[in-house]
Amino acid sequence: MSLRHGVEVNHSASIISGGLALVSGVIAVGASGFASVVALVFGALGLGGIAIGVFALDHRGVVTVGSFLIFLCVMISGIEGNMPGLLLVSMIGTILALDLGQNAVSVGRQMSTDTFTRRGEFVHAVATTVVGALVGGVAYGIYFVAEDGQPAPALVFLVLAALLLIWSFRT
Amino acid sequence: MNVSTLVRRVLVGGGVVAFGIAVMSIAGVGPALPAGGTAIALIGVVSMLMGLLSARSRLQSEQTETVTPDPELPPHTPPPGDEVDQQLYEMIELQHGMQENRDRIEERLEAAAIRIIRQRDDCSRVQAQVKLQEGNWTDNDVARDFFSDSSSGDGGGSIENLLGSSNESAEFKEQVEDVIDELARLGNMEFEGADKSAADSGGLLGRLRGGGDDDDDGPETQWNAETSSIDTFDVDEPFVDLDTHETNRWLGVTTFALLAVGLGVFVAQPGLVLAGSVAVGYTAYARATATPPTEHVEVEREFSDDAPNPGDEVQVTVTVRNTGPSILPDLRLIDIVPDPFIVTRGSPRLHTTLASGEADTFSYTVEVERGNHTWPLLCLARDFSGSVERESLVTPEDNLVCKPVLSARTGMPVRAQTTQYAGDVETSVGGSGLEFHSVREYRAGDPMNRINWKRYARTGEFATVDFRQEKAAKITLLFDTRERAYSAESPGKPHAVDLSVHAATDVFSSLYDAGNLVGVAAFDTVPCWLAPGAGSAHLERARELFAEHPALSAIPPSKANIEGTYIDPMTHVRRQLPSNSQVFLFTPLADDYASETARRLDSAGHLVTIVSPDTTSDKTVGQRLAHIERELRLAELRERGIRAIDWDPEDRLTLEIERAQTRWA
Repeated sequence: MSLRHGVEVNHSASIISGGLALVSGVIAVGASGFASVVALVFGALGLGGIAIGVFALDHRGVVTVGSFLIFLCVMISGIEGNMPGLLLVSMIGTILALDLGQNAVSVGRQMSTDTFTRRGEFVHAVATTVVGALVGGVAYGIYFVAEDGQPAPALVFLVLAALLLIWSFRT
Repeated sequence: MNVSTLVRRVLVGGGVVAFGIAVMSIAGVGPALPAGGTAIALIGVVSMLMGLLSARSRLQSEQTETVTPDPELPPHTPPPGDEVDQQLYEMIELQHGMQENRDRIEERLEAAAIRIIRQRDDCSRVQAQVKLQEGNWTDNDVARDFFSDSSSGDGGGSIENLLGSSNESAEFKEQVEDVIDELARLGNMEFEGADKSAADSGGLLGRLRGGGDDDDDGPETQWNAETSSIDTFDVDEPFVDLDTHETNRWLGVTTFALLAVGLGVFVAQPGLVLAGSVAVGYTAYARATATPPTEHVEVEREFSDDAPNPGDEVQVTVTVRNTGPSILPDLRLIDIVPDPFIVTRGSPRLHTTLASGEADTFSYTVEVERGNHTWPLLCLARDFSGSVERESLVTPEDNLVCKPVLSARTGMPVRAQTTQYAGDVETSVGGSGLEFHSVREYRAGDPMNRINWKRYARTGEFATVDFRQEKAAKITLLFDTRERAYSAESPGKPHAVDLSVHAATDVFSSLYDAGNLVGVAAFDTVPCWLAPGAGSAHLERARELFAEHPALSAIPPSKANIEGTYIDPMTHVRRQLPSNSQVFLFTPLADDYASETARRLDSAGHLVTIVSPDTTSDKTVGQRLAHIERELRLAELRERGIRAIDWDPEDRLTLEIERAQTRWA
């Protein structure tokens, strides 16, 4: 019996989630990056980080750093006075980029590039997007309604209340 | 009241208070909020600080997810001589066990050198030892000094050994390499592809761990339970829950939330607070976890061939169904293909979502090996957010039985040790047969067709011709199945036990068809014995033995859960072996026990033929030493008149047997 030939197992990050992560990142940067040059620079670096983390290095940490840079881009554009609606969209895009980028690396590591992963990945991506859209929609709705004359601190306390209660779920 | 309860109560209290303040403020009742700029700014700063703190804790904690195995890959069995490489590795890289390992290696080299000197100069063992000490056995300085130094280097060298850095070990390794090359030269052995630069300790580790180096295009190998975070895949029940843990994937989002809200408050940009609330929403999403109900997963497997032979390709189709009431949003499935199998097409994995009642399938093609195989499906299930992961093993009832076919493809010459039954082996006893044996005086009652009529015509006297009687032989196929025998030349190649069993299933039938009585035995701690016999039931028993007996398994004893007690492996065999049985010993000759066994059997009156697959290699120091030792064993066995077939697995066994026959004739 001669050398046995088997398939090669490749654990590179999944292109589907990786591509979607990159698209989300582009949307995030697009909605916020125009506010200032600094924001754009951070945004571009963030996109680069995500692309490298997913397609080149298969490293979760690099993806996290990349999405954090995009987050900074959103923050800076917020400081510069960007529209709340666009900031909302950017935030959703940033978190999507983080989650889908990490999922790409995770799926690649646990499955392999030969595996059929389309269904699972799409469902995950859709779920995360829907959550973001719902929360964003509700928050914007409240903001819209509350904009007329309600003091900003109330909003802040509302948000902090939500956070504290959520933390109490699991310590 | 412990800390976590206290913390939780504080959080809930704080949350309720904050909520109350917010509601009252929106409704416009109650005391006015401290709407001063500094107070708000303070809240903002606190929030950002908390955000940074949470970032720090996120950096410190790790995301945990199950490390999965690669069942597609074939398993790894080390080549002979691997233990020497391990010892050298310990000495050079890990720097412990210096004296021990050094002594062991020196002992082995000394034994090999003495054998070579004995062979070359045809002297006794004592004389060879003397020659070794004196150093007049070779012109090579390094080799000479190595052995004459070894007795003097032990005493005063211990302190130096303590201080000795890896430099000394590296020097020792170089000396060992030179000595081995010199021994090989003296023994007229050649090493193909002897490449010293590849045998460095960096590549050593790679080879030891079973993968090729970067420039080695050998395949990757892995035992299923070795590199994954799961201990074992040997499970008895249909559903085994391994672990449920949090993956901590969403830790970063809390940081985003706190920073965004804090910054928004600080610079009075409500848009940022809004963005922060999205992040808060995601935090809730991550914490609203539910353990996925994988106990309702049903698995079915279909095989394209229900009774394959070893080496056949079988397509496996796996169908997974969710019979439970709720959805399984994130299912990652890996079919833990048994170690001896190799996946040749497709992927035994799937990533999918199953709503209640839904099913999904995936298929792959696998090259099978003998045995009765059941294997589990690894189920990694997550909830929608992916923050909880549950590992379980689901084992369906479908099993795959692969029995070898006893084909009469390879003819094997038999030695002259026979029974009283008629057969095909020519004996030195005269009687009826085909080949001329002798002429003797006529006795009344001799058959007429054996009278030498020509003699009668010449001299008028009767004489009877005797032919060589042909008798059946009793043959026991004996397998060396100790841990040592599970050695393969390089990763991805079949190991010696597999090679032996494949060869034996070829040889069994041809021996049997020639009218001999054939049996099977193995020496190991698990008794394996099938007495030489005949008949179709006997053949069926032999097939089952090859397929399912644990001693002849494709998996070495260290990886299988077999309880064996420590006794001399030949005990069972010696008790049962019939006194007039020949023995065909299948062994890689990886150590002296095998050749010792052959000698003892031969001396006890069981003529021995050895079929030895050559699984030695010559890429590293240890492998070369093992190669030399094996050649020496073969030479010594042949000197004693034991037939030995040195079989290179790349060639066909038939050819090697034909070559050997010319030697024996």
